[in-house]
Amino acid sequence: MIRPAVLVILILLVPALLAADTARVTFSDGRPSESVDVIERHGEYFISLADVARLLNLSKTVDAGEGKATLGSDAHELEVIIGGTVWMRDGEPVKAGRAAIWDGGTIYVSLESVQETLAPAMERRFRWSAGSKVISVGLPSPNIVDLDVDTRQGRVVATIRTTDVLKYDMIPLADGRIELLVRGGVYSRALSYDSKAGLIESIRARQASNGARFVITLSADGLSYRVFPRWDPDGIVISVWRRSADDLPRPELRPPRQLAWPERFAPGRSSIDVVVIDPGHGGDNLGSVGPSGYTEKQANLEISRRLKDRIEAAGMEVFLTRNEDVFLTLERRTEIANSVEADLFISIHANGYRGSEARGFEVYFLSPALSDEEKSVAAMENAGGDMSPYMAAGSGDEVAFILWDAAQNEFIVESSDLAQYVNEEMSLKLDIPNRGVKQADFVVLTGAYLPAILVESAFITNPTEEKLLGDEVFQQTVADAVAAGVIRFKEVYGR
Amino acid sequence: MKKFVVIVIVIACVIAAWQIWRRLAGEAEVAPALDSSQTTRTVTLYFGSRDGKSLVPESREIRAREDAVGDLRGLIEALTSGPRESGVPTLPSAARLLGAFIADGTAYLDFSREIVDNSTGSTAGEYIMIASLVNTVCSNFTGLEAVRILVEGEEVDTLGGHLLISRPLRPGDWR
Repeated sequence: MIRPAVLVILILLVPALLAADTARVTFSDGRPSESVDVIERHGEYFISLADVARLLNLSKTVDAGEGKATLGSDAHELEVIIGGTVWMRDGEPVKAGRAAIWDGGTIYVSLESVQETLAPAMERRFRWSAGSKVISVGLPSPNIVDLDVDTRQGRVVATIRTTDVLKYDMIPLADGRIELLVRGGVYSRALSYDSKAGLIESIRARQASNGARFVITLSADGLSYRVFPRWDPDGIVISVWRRSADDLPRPELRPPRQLAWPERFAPGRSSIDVVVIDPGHGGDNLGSVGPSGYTEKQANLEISRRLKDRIEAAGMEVFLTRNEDVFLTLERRTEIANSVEADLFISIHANGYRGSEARGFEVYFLSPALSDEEKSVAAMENAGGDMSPYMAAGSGDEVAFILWDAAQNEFIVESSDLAQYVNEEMSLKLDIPNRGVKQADFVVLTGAYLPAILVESAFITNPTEEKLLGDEVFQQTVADAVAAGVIRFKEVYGR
Repeated sequence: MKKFVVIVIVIACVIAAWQIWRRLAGEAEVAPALDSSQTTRTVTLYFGSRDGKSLVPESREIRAREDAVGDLRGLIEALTSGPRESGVPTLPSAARLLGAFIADGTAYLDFSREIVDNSTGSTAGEYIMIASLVNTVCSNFTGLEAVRILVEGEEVDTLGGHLLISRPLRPGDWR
C-alpha cells in the first residue's frame, strides 16, 4: 500500500508538474536546438537563471545571503537582485521589466526581461516569442534594411529604416562626428551615404558585436541636429539643420546612459520650438463613443491635425504621436515627447460620461507629482534600489532627486499657465460651457519631463456636442483656440 | 487504512484551525462596520451628478454581513447596481467585486475585468467612477482612509487610460 504521506506529496506534486512548461531554443551558432523548462507566473513566462547563463555562455555565481546572482562575460558583469527590478551592470543600475523571483531554491527571470534587459546588458542576442514559445539565441536576421536621406525645407533628414523598434546610443566623437550605436542592429547590406553639397557629408556603417555603428560626418560646424525614433514604419531619424542666430545650443551632446536622468531637468529653456500633439486613443481603442456612433479617436485626430497646421504656421515644429488611426500605448506617447526633446506636450481628447447631459470643455494639467510623504517614500525606495514609477534611477542620488523634484515643480507651474491660457482662449472662441482648468494625475502626462496639458474639447456623449465634434468648423475653432493659448505661452516663456 | 483516515482528519483539523485563527487575527485589524446586532444597515452611496461635475449622495439599506469585508462587498454591490434616485451610475454594471481586504486603513478592492473593459467614459466618467468608489467606501467605514483598486488581482496604472490609480486613493483628492 502507498503510504499516506507519499500520497499527499503526490497530490501536491500534480499541479506543480502540470504547471511546468517547455520552450524550444534555436541557436544560430550551430548548436543543436533543445528544450528548456519555463514556468508561468502572472501570465508571464520565467526561465531559470542557470539556463539563461548556459544558453548565453555566461558565468554565474549565486550569493544566496545577499539575495542576488552575478552573471559574467569577458566584458561585463550583471548583478541580478532577487525581488528587485533594478539590477547592476558593471556597477551602474539597469532597470528590468519584472523582478527576478526565487522559487524552490532556483532563481527565475522573466523571458521578457532577459530579452529587454539581461541579454542587451551582456551584449548577447536573445529573442523570445511568447506566442510560439521559441527562444532564439545568437545572431538574428537583419533588422536594419535601408538608409534614406532626404532634403526638405533646409533640413537634411536621414532615416535608418529598421524592421523593429531598436534602441540606440548617440556618442559624439572628439572630431565633431557623431556615432550612433544601434543596439542589436544587424544590417542586410552595406549602407552608406555621401554628398558634396548637403549638410550631412557622409554616413558610414560598421557591424559590431553589440549592434550596428553608424558614423555621421556633418559638412560644417555650427549645425544643429537631433536624433529620434520613428514608429510605424520603424526607424531612427537624424535631422540636421543650420542653426540660426537665436537657436541656442541644446544639451544633447552628452553620451546618454541607459538610465540617465532626463537631461531636460535644468529649469529654464532657450525657447519654445517643438510641440508634441497627442491625439488620444486610436486603433482598437475608440475612446468614448457618441450616441450616433461618432468616435472620440476620430475627433481627436481631426482636431490634432488642424492644431498641428496652426502651430506650424506660428513657426514651431510639431510632432503628432499618431497621424493615423492606430493604437499607441500611453508610455509610447510620452516616450515620443521625451525623445524628440519637445518643449510642450498637448494631449487632445473628447470627454465622455454616463449621463448625456454633461457638456462643455475643460483643460487639465498634472497634479503636483508627489505629496511630501510620498516624496520621502520615493527617496527611500530609490536609495533601496527599488524603482518608483515617479523616478528615474540613480540609487541613493539625493541631489539628483532634489533637482528632479524642482524641475518637476517648475513644469507644473508652466503647465498650469499653459492650461490657463488655452482655457481662456477656448472660452473666448467656443459657445459651449467652460468647465474650467483642473488638476489630475494623468497617466499620459506622468512620465513627461516637460510642460504638459490635456484638453477635453467637448462631450461626445452629449448629442449636441457629438455633432459639433464631427463638424469641421468646430474642430477648426478648437484648434485655433488651443494654438492661440500655445502662442501666448511661447510669448511669455520663450526667450 | 485506519491510520490514513486519522492522518487526513488531523490535516483537516489543522487547516480549519489555521483558517479560523487567520480570520480572527484579520478581524482584529479591521475597522468594525456599523452595529452588528441589526440585520440591515443604512449606508450612503455616492453617484455622479447629471452634469458630471460632482457626486450626489443616496441613502440605501443593505443587508448586514458578518464582518467588515462582508459589508464592503455589500456596499460595492449596491454601488454597482446603480442609483434609484436622480444620480448617474458610476461603475459598469457588469463589474464584479472578486475580493476585498483591509490593511493599514486602506481597502483593497479587487474587481473583475469589466471595470476596465466597460469603462465607457472619458476623463469625466473615469474621474467620477473613482471618486464615487473612494468616497462611498471611506465615508461608510470608520478607520478607512484610502482605497486601492486592483483588477483581477493585479495592480493597474489606470482603469480607462486617463487617470493614474497606482497609488492610494484618498477622499480628499477625489471630490
